[in-house]
Amino acid sequence: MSKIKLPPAVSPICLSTSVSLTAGNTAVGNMADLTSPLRSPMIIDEISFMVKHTETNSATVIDYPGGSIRVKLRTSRFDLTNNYVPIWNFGPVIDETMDSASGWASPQNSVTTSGKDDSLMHFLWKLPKPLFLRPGDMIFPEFQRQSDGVAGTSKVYITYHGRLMPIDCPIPPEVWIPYVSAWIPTLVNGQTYYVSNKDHFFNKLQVPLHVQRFHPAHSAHQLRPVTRAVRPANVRVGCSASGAVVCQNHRFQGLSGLRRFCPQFLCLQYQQARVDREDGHRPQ
Amino acid sequence: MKIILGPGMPGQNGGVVPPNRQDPSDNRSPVQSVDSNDADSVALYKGIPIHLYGSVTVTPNSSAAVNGVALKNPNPGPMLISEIKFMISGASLALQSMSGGGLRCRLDMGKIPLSNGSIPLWLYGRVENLTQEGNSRFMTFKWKLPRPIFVPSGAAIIPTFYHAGIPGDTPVVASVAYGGRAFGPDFSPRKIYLPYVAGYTTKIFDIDESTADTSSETDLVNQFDTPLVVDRITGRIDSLTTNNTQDDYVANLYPAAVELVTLRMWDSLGNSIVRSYTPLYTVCHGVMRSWQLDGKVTLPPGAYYIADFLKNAPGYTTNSGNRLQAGIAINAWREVSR
Repeated sequence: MSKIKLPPAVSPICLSTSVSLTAGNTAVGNMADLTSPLRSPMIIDEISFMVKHTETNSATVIDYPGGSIRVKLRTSRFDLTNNYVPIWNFGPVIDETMDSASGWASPQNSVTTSGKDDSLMHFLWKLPKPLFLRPGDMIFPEFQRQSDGVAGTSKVYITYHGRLMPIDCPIPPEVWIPYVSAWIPTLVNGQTYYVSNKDHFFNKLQVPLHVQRFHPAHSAHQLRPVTRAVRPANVRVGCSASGAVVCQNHRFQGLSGLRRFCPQFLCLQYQQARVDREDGHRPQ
Repeated sequence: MKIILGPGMPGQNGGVVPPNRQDPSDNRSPVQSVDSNDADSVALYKGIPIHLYGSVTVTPNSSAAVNGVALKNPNPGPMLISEIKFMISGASLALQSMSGGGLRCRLDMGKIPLSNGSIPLWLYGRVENLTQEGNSRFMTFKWKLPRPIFVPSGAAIIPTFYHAGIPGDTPVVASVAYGGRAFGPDFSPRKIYLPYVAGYTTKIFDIDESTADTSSETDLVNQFDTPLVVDRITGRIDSLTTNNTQDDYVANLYPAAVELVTLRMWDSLGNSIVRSYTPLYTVCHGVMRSWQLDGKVTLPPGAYYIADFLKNAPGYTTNSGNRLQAGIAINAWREVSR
């Protein structure tokens, strides 16, 4: 990858927008909130999500899972995800008690007293390599909430943290593009064995993908209280080029050392960074 | 544990000689080739750990400084302080709880300011684990310095605490601890870094009101003639009631409060930092209460950031009597010549 020395950043920059989602709906973020002011180039260092779920009937309030809200990210030229990816599959857990709503920000103790209860979640994706955005370019988010059977509205904030570059900043000939692909099997009653197909973790690009991490996460939507019991889900991972990656059935949580509560359906995701040529060649 | 002496360690230049080196037959050569100005050598030569501690009782609406003798560098050589830890505990049972927003601290090393006036304790560092910061009558906060601060022999970082009078009239015991490494008198790093925190605390908002508050040019400012390298931006929301102040998470106010306090920011050249009013805990990530910049951004001499807070009125019934106070700070460091 050819290197070019970029000038110092002008200032930090934080761009944020929010959408409101009910079960089974999709929404797109406001592009005006997410574009660089004055069409300056930007470098994005991290992408964070915050979900505030408001429930009008406290009797059915749940700890709302991050697995139900999914997002598809793309710039004007490249996809950053293979499809809709659960928002908690982007980055590792920072603080388990606070990353998800599990047992945290208990709705019963919320300040609200008029029948509305809130729960809150935070997720952070610190990009493996900063993403350079050309003048006028942006990361365009499309949100989707599953038909999870949960009443109430989820307000989802997406925030880009980065740096504003000078207007005359040279455009790097090659940039690092973060990429996430995920597989979320659809559970069937009585079925205990699921296999991804070639389209799920497939490098469809013309350049190599550099795998940064596997990020397994369990999810469930169930009524409170959330149980911390972990179901014995196991996983094997194979690779078309190198054979077995995880040779034998391995405890799901052990794959990344992460522990998620409330396991009920399975989701496996990995996250990659790739070198992308901007010489007119468009691998997608 | 075995400590290998390097140049300038106590014992080499008039310091205390460890017992194992007092034997004249011990003719092992110390690591004389180590050059304390050489980065690699300094990396090899780690020093010895040192910890200093002091405390003071602070009464409401007054300030108090910790006894400087307790915090003075006791060694003949300099030390590098890598983290500063604060602790608040109630001086009496009358105190129900006190947050890091109620007690503020100004840090100075001699004539060198390390903070822009009195900064709430919880704006110095990022949250490591919010649930472990504590509540009730005991709280701890840690400022892990982005670059260790060089403290010469005999010098001290003096904290002056200020009790903002929130809550009530209860005095508190404020403690500070410095953790770092001590070196011999010959230790002389090529570069010296000084940390710096500049902050702004809003007025107190009634939870039901809709209002705004804006920092001034002298709050989040680089007052030096050298660039400040910004390590992070930290933001917190304090929940105030009659008898206690708490982090809004501890106060169970968090889900509601997160959208009540929004923020936009720009710099002294008019560049947008936070373009539109955005919840504080999306600007400063809600788990860490900070926006980690990792030194990728500098604030030129004399430049400043402006933080414009907008307090939204909740759209539903709220706990009466609750008040909010937001704070934001830039945590930075600068390089100085010797």
